[in-house]
Amino acid sequence: MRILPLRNAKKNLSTSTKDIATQKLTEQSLPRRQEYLRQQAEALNFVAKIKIQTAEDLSLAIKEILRIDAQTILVERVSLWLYGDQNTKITCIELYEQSKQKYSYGFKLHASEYSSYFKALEENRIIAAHDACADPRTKEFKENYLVPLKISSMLDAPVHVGGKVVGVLCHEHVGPTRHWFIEEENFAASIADFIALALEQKERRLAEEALRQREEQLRLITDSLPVLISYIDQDQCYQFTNAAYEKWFGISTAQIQGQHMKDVLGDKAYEISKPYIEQALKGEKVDYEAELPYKHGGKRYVNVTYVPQFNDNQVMGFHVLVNDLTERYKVEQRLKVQYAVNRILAESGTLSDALSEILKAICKLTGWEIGLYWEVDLSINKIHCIEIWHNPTIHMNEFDMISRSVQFSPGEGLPGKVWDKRTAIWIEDFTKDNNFPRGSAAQQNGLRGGMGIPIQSGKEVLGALEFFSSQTLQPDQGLLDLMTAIGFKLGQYIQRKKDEERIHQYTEELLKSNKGLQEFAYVASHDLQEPLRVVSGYVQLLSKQYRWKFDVAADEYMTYIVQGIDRMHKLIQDLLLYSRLQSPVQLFRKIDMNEICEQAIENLKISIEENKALITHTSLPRIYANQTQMIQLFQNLIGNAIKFKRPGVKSKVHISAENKGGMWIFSVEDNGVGIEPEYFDRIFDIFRRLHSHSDYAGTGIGLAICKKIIEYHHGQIWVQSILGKGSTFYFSLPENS
Amino acid sequence: MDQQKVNILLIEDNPAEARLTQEALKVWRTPLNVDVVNTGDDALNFLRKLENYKYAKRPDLIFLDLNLPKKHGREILAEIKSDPELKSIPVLILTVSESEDDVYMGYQLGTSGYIKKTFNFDHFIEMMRKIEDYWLSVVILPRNLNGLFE
Repeated sequence: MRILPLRNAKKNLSTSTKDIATQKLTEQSLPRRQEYLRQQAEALNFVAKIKIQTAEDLSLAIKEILRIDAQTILVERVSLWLYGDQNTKITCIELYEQSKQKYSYGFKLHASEYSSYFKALEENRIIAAHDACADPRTKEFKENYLVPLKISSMLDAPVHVGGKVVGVLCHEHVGPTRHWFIEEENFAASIADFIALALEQKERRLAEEALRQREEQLRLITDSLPVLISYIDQDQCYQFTNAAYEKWFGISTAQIQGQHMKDVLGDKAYEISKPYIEQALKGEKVDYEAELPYKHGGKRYVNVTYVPQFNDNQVMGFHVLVNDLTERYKVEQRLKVQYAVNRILAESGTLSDALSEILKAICKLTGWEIGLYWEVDLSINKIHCIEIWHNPTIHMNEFDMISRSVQFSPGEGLPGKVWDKRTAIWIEDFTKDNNFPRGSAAQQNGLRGGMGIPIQSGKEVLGALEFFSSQTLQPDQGLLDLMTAIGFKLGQYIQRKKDEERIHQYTEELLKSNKGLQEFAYVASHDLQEPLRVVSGYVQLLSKQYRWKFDVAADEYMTYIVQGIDRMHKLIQDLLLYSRLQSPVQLFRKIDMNEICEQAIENLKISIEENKALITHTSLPRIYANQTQMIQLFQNLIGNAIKFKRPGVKSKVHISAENKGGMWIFSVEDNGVGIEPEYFDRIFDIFRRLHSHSDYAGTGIGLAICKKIIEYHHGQIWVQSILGKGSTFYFSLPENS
Repeated sequence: MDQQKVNILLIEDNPAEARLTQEALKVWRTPLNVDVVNTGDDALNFLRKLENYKYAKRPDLIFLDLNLPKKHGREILAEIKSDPELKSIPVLILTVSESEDDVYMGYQLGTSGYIKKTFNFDHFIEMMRKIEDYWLSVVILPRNLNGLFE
């Protein structure tokens, strides 16, 4: 509290004034004087309690102070003036007029015009001008200011802020000159000091406000960035964090403030980051990528930068910038999954191999602990587990066992639900799902979240994939979309594999039955030969050794028996030949068809000579074929041409070939009996004969053999003929085989 | 028995076939003695003089049919050719089979000739004549040691 010295108390007293304040003091009564001082002290006490928070507060406070001031020392005008820039002028920021109880502001005074006054302000603690018009410090104001406003006395106290005069508190007495008592001077000085304090306070508030605004701005910027930005001090505690931290760690910025990194990041993430933190605190800039645990479970793939901050070569802390690459990483991962699945499907021989590899690849690339493949069995309308892969470091016996032993109906359990709904399903936490019959085993093995994906071929669900994790996971639509696509791809693959298997099975069965037939034909004809040979042998023995005992009829019978046996023998021989014909691809080689034709003619020499037939051929090409079969083919066709000659007409056979669109068309033309068009196709059937035995001998197998040979050579055989004029047999063979 | 006679063992299960072969063998000018056995076991017993064949004569030439019940002709051939006592006897395969496999296996197992029985009986007789020419005059058979052991 300020002590008011009581010197000059009685100096220059004037009784003529009606001024109450003057009266108070001039009465010289001690109790009155003490009362006046008590009022002053009360006023100062009141002023000291005025709180200033804002600029508006300050203006109100000044108004209040000026009013209290005026009422305490009873002066007509109390005003506060402040210097503008560079102290060249002074502006009235507030004026209180006691008689009018009115505030105003705005007057300006130029320092250069009132140099004595301003000089005095700088030098004196207070200017107490009893007669303002005469006082050398204030008489400069006389004409322009004092006289017009009828001001007689002035009591001006400079306002100091930080050792500098920033303004002045003016008390202007109107009426007869007034003598300022020392107590009043002290009071004015004290009020001026309060104002200085208030101004100072306001300055500081403004600076603080500016700082706060700057910080706000910075926060706004950093909060809007999708990266983690923070400042860590030497003790590894957060001094600044942006809003991204709230999202990541689920606690408010205020809660993070001052916390140790370990407490915010969690032990695992902190352990990973620790060596880098230490590096940063040694003053190195650090940049690294790592997979860090995320508060919602799962992992985040991040790029982290630490930039140390120095003060006098001392590391004060470091700035942290964490860039979340998880999405980009996920996209990369998904591409990897797609690539892996495609590769596995292309390379795997069996479905089982492929599935086990796919489950493993998806688990490893996307971080699931266990993957299962379920297959729909339509015969019992159930879905059951066929294939499981799990992370070998994790105990999964119970879940593995129950999954392999259980069967689900449509809608039952996750596989049944996927099957029923034909859509991928995500389960964040199946401990909260009442349609999860394997729940207790899953919990026993620490599984929490999972997804199920249908394997579809068209609209038909062939099976389902399941993946589980030990964490509860937020639904990942991108992953579900990818898995749905993989489900379709797998469905196509499985369908294709099944079709292939079916075709393979049919082919196998067909080959088996074909082989069986061939063997049957071979064995049958072979076994038929033996008894026939015995019959034939004894018939000949009989006719040799007992001929003389037979009569004419018996002789005739014997002849028929021998003929029958011969015919049967021929049939068996041809049947053997036919059944032995096999696709001889491995025996194909380039052969000269001219030589083949000559060889066939040579083989038919006896028959040709007997019938005096004329066989001619043009130049024939070289082709890839089986030599033996080609000779057989020509032999049968030329043989037929000679055999079916017209009675009395000399047999002529001509063989030629021409190339048509990559195929050689061979023709064997004769001038024989010809064939009716309705038989053009049927003559190539086995045992099909058009003529009686008495007219033309034969077994009906010859052309069937030709057809089979041509089929083995990927060609075609057909006939054109005019009855009674002749026939032309055509067959085609590929130019390049 | 006349020592000049040639001993033939015919291994053939079908009596009709056996008789037919015997009939054809009548064209031989060389005196011969033909013994017929129906099964592989009988054949081996005959050759080893076992059971009912204690007094059997060691043949100079064996005619072997392939298609036999129980023991197949191939097995009989293999046993004869792996028995040091018997392997010196020439074995001629006489069969209707013209399967290349049978021919190959026959020679592989040590047959002295693979003969396909012709369908025509006259041709069969002609074939027998040629066999006599070859085996009894062109080539020299190992000496039959029957006499020495008796």
